[in-house]
Amino acid sequence: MNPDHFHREFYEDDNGTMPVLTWLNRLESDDMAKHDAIVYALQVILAREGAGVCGTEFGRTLGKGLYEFRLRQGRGRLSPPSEQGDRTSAGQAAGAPATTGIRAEGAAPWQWLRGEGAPGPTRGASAVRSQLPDVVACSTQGGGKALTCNPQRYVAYPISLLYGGL
Amino acid sequence: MSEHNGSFADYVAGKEMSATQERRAQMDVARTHAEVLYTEAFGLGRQLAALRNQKHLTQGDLAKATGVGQSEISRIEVGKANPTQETLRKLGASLGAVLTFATEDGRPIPI
Repeated sequence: MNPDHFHREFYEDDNGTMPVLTWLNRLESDDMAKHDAIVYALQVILAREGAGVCGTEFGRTLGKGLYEFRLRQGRGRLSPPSEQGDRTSAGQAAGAPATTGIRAEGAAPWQWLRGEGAPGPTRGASAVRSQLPDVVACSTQGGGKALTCNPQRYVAYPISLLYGGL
Repeated sequence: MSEHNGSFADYVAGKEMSATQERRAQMDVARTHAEVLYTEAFGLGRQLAALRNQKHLTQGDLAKATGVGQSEISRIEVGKANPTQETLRKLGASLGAVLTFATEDGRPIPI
């Protein structure tokens, strides 16, 4: 791996559960193409840019230390029109618009939380933060799944954890 | 779960290693697509920064030479701006480069 890339880890809670991993495995079973689109967007784009995606089409600052990583286009762009499906619920949850001439193959939006202003951290998140001075957490908007990274070091966990059960 | 020890990169590597040939082909498509998205969003800015650095110019130097604001140059380099063709032409001209299209795999398109 390029040493300049951001290291990403799955957040693990106090029970040893990795909610993002669980979610990804489920997604892989439900929609392999969407799984792959998300995985490689995270592997390529988030790994290279980290929080730098904010202000681009891939991310934005939500305030109070909360950021979002979003993938608007998936396999639909690479597939002929006859093979394209409707925008997915994940894409709709993200408010992802259909792109010109191409249906957006919605991939789940990701969010990450950074710094002390993060709302409602769980014990697990707090524990991670205490170990990592510059923690960022990721999660999806629609259902609480997360990923990680660190710049340094980002750690991801579900938004349901962040907000105590959204 | 321990096979990747929480590392996302290891998770991906594990998926790739255990994939069938057909599945691997699908993954390659997704990876290629992510690379294209990355290039579209960040490639031009990276090229601009690389060119500027090759010339040993600061963003301020380039701003003075082109009349394009330093902050705008900074935003272009990190992929956060939506510069006009004229702005890109000025920047390119100052760095000995021209703005053209290329195919998604990087091959220049003949004029």
